[in-house]
Amino acid sequence: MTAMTQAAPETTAPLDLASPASEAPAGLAAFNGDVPALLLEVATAAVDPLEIAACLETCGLSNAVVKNRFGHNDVFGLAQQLYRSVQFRPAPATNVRERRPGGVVDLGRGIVFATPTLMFAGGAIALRSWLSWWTLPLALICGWAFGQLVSYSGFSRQSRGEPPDATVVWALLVALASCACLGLVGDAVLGGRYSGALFAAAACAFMTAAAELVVHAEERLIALMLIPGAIGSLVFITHEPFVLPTFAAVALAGASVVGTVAAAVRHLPRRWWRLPVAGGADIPTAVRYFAHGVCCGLFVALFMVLEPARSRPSTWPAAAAYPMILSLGVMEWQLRSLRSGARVMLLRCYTLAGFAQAARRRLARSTCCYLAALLGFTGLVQALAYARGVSVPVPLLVAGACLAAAFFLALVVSSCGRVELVLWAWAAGLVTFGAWALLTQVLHAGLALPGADAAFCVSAVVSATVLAVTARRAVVNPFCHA
Amino acid sequence: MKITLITEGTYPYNLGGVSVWCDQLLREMAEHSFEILAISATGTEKNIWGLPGNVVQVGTVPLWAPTPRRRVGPSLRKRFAPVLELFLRSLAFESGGEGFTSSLRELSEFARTGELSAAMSSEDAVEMLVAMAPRCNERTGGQSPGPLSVGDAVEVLVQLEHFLRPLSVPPPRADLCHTTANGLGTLPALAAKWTWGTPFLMTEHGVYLRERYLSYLPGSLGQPARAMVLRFFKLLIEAAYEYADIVAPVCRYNRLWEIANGTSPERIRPVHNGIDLKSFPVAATEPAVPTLVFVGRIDPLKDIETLLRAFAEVRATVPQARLRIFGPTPEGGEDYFRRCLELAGELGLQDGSVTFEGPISPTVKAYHAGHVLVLTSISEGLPYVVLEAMASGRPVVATDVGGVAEGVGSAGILVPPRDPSAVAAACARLLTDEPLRQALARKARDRAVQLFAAERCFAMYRSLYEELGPSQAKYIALPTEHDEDIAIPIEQEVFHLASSGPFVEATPGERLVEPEVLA
Repeated sequence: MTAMTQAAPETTAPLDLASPASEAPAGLAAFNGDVPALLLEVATAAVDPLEIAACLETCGLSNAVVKNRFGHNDVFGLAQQLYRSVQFRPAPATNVRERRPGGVVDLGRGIVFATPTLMFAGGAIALRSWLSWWTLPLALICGWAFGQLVSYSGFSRQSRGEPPDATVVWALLVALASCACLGLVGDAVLGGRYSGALFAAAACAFMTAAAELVVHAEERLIALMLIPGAIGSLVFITHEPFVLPTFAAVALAGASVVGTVAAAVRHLPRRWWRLPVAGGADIPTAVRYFAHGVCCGLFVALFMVLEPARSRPSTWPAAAAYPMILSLGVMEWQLRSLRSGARVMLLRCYTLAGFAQAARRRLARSTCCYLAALLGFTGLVQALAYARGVSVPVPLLVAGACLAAAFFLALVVSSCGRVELVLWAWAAGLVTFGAWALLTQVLHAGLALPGADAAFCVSAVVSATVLAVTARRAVVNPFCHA
Repeated sequence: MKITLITEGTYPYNLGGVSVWCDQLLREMAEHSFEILAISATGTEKNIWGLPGNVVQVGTVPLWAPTPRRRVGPSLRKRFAPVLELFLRSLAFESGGEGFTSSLRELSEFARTGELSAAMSSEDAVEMLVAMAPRCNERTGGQSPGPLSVGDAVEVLVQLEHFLRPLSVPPPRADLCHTTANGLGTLPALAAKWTWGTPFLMTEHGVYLRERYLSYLPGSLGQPARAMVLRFFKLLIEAAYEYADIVAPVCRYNRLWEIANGTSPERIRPVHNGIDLKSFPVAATEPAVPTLVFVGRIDPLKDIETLLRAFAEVRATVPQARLRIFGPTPEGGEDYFRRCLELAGELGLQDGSVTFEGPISPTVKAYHAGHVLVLTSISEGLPYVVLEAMASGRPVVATDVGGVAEGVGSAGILVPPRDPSAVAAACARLLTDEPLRQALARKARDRAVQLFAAERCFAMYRSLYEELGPSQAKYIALPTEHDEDIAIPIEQEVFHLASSGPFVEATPGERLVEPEVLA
């Protein structure tokens, strides 16, 4: 075995055993109809006589057999004759499966990704009543960051044909330790109860473990594990303690976390305590994905940070994040549609210009689909707010929509392997937020809530704009889809 | 002498016959110092062999590790375009390979500065390849065998970029470059030859080109893409045969392929593999139950499926027979292993008659555990398992591929590859005919002692090293102002190497793997 074949087992087509082929072409008449299927396949599509010689040898036609049966001195002579006489017929690639973009499976995956919305909503309510304001942001930032790290590590290993390593365990340990330490510091400095650190650690562990399951394409398992948590969150959201007491709802959510972590650690190698080994160029990319996760968590956390700062009970600011979280499923669906569509186009286009045009069209279509779904979810949330007699601040709603669009485009760009461009976009957004907030503070001698909402809104618009430009450029690079 | 031993996918990161051979060579040639340049898959592999004290450095070239992203600026595009064009033109069949080696030399300059990966992954390269691809298929007489899609072009460029990575290593500075195979491992040896005039010895275990043809069967890539990748391998292999001072196949059979690819017969010196006979004593007894033994990797090249089908037929004649399979499943081979288990189930062999027992150490235990060794490979050089089993006094049933016939001689039964019935008939005969089995076993031991002793094999390598030794090197070493060695090729300019390359100091250690642990 060579290093080449070791790392690229997919390039090896399955060897068809020596079953006789049904119909032999003219050049193979000397075989009297007893042509092994593999030889027939190779003889018609060979690119060199030696390719046929290699095949003859593995079909049992040694030099002696060739001499006795066909009168050639060796396999090379027979191979040369077959190369000249057998009608050439190009063999299309058989290991390329063209998948219809936007399949039901992708939508199904998407729905699984949307399920944690319920838990987020439950968390937001808990945040108002018995959690400290910083707990959910902490959980989101840590969980998103470690989740990105685990999924990058897993997918890059998979692409190189390497077996699973212990990244998820180490990520879980570091994530839990970080959440616990930061939680304790939060309790001490910002105030709160110890349940905050516990909540943050649990949410973070769930996100990290779920990322490992996504790497192994086990979304169904995530969906299964989410069932108790979703029920618990529903009870919590609907305030129906007569159905289940609060502690039972929390226990159900806990069961989801424990189940997901247990499912993820199933994939550990036998020597799980060994530190994962990363290649030289892996580490900077992993760090970038981690930073991307931090930025995603930070932006979503802004909704939470702004939530308890409001005194009016008639507003429902956390709801501004719901359209985005509800649409995570559609986001995933459209990303996969775009990727599979681009791959199909790669095989159907014969010029780069043609491919670029097709890829841009696909991007536009997927983005429009996503935005339409986002609009629908926004309408739904508004209707819910109306039904509850509360309002969602408009700047926050706009910020939520822009942030959702930015998330979708960030997903597109990072899936093209250009996560560093995503970081630039997030940096632009965060700098804008900081500058706007600072300006508001200077002008109004204090950061009023409307000012913070506007800063959030503008920063989301900036990030989304940068990412829109970046995505248009990234998707036309054919290497991004290979 | 200082020798650079170049391996691909084997020593010191993997088990297998070639790794065993490397370990033996390094330990036997204690008077020489070695640096190992290992072409590996990802660069994260662990060294599983204890290195002998004469190994001074180990370098790794990972073919599939991620590389840092580099921007392809206008300057790089401008410099790279003519080189790539020359390279792609040389792949076109009507060029007859002209310009291939000179383009490789130029590509190596880009590789060493880390620019090759970025330049090969550029949109310019895709456009150029799409234009050139139709001319790589001789059979269509230069007509396109079908257009090359953008996706196929990307696939070809990605693969070529990975395959050319060994060029990124500074040409080894040694008295001799010794490669364990043809193929990608010869790239650093060729670079050393071109740069310093370093002599180049190539040992060939399996036939690299034949194995590439079996890896890229029709359908594995689109036709034009497959034609290009295979053309690249053919030209590289021909170039290596041309530049190697001596080609030392492990069996005479490989000569046929070497000559077919342009090696002049006088440069071919077959050196049979050798084994340490003391490690393979003749078994005193035979197991109570009729037992067949397979020793090797669970790999499609070993054709375990034919072995299982054959064993199902053996059971019809010898119902109490057992098949014990020893050997590891290499990384990436898990699917094949699963397929084998499924096939065993389909054949009704789940009653414990077939056991996959993983690696065993020392391997002699595996040979002693059976009556007969069976080998069903579809491609081989001169497999160690055959020689070791023979030395252990076990008859062999093996497929007639590569140099197996040279190893077995008349001390076993040869069968055609992929023919379960022939394998089954031979195995059943040996299991049931004790006098024949005993006679072949004695013959096998005698043959192993006479022809395949390690001392004999390495004495031949010693003489080859002497033949190609320092007196043949066409460079002189001069001290620089920093008191470093810089090699000055005769009538060539001074090369200042950008870095010391991928080498790290070797840590001598005990043997971590018994040499008999074969796969």
